[in-house]
Amino acid sequence: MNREPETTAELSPETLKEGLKLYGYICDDAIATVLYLAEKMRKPLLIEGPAGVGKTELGKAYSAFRGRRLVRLQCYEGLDETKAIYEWNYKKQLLYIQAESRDWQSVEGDIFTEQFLLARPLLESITSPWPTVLLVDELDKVDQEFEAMLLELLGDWQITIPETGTIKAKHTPAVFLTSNRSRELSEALKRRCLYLYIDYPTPEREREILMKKFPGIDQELAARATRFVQKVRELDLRKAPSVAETLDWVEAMLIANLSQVDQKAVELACSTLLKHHRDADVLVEKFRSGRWL
Amino acid sequence: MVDHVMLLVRFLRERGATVSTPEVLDAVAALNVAPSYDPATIRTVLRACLIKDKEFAQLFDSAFDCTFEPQHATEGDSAETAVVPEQAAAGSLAVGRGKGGGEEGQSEEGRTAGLSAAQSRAAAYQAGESGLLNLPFLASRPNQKNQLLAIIRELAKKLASKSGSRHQRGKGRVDFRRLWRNSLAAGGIPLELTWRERRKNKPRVFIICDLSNSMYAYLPFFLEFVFSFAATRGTVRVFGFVDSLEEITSLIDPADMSKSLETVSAKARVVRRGLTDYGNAFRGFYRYHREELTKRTFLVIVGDARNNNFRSGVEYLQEFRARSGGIYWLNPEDKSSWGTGDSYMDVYLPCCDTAFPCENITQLKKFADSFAVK
Repeated sequence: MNREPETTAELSPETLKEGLKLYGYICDDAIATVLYLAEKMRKPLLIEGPAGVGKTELGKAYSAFRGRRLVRLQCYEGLDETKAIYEWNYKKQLLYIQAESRDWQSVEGDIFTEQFLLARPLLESITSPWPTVLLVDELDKVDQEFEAMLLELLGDWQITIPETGTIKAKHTPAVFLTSNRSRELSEALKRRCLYLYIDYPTPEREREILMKKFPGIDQELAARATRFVQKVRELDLRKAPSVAETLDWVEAMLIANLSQVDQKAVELACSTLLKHHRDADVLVEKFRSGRWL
Repeated sequence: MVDHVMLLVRFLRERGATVSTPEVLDAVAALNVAPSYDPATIRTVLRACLIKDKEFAQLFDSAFDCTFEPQHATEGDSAETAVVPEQAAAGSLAVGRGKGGGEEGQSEEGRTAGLSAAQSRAAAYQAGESGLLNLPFLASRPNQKNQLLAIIRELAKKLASKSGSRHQRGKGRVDFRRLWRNSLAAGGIPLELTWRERRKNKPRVFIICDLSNSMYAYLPFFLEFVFSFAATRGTVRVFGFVDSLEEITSLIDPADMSKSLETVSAKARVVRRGLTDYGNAFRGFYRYHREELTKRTFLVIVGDARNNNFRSGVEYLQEFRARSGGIYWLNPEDKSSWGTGDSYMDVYLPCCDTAFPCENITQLKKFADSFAVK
């Protein structure tokens, strides 16, 4: 808490909102407030929500806006500390021993030093000379044991390496953890984070996102497309369309030169907006059944 | 302001949300740096700090409304305004408590004025908790049902994570091929021993459940439990039958069991004549799925074994036992009624590794404990 402050004096949720908008991310008040808090309190931010609502994008846009380097750790089952935190470059150690060919006592002290350390994303994010943004993506994919390894980093901003000792963060990185809730994260981890749940956007926000991504788009079309997607989300579907899929669909419509949501657009939607055969059937049927829009 | 937060936290904890002390400290620290003090911002700020689970978001909102509503508290908030929300919140706590007590049929106790608020609260809470654990599933009322399901889910999660840590990594046989390959980097000197990675023991669980009317009310509980428990430990497949068997794994959505069961009864072809027939179901399983049984597959049979006096099909069950890693039977009836009337439980019992009566959570837990040892 008592670390020297960065140049964030004039930072406020509003400036964050505006800034992120410049980098293509439209956020609502709640997101901006929590993001602001996370920065002020130097706390990791745990973001949950359905797939494709822009959890990862938020991290990326934030790093672009703050001009910090993004260090990304994509989680998967079986990820371990040699891939996430650090590893000893033992080939280099070997070469060093051969090249030096001094007696063992003098070499011994040298080979476990930082120059033989291969920094993986987590170590990299705290040893970097500039402040970074650490994005740990899809944390729910990783085993519970790995989660425990994150605790030291997230709580105290340090990593302990048995051979050399503890490395403290030069600058506290801004940490974003994302999760699709495929598994419950441990209480210990949650306790150390601020929590943000991003849901599907409101119609206004979604339209704003469309206008931002496709600057030339017709206002009317954007509004209609958003309303359509909102309706689709209310259907009983296996997978509701996310923001990313809305963007795909609208892009497809623009490429096909469609100016309204008609039969053709619905056909496009079946292959861009929806990812299940059964869902597509439901949509087509609903559309045929009458004046749905 | 701190008083407000403490009230809010008390309310949340009372309703089952886990709020730890560091989180409360965070919340207070966060209020210090909050960008503004309008209600919406305060709500966002506190929610981000206190609630780490989407499920509790609604609870938080109602709690927040109770504690903060009357005045939109500002930083300069002084004692005199803090009193009113205190009363308001205390009132709403009492309402919540009364409701909670009412669910256990002890609302009078909850409202007794003689007890201090904290005491009565603790009493109601404990009675409710242990009461629920031994409450028979069928006797639960709709509102209790959801509580039961929540407890079951929690329990399954705990058990699943407990067993996960027992796996040890490494140390088995030396993996010579990789050892050789790695040694090339060091000029053929095998500096580091490479071990063949031991296969993690992920069992497959086949659940065979009786979908007949007599069982229907139990199924949400059983499936909820077995599914969330077993899914973390391995692959789960579910087969259902009334008198003929069909795989229903794809019809089940772990997130919403009761709805999945509706889908199952609407879509699965499990009924021919309409009377429960275990013998025919076992034959169906034998015919189409016996090849898939291995020693690492566990069969969990969920049913009351009331067979309408059809053939028992016990020879198939013996065959399954020989092929699989074990057979568990979950029976919602009490042990004393096993084998009475048209219950064939006594016939099936010798073929099962273990059979459990399961009509409440405590008994479910026993089953899970024995299952976790495998």
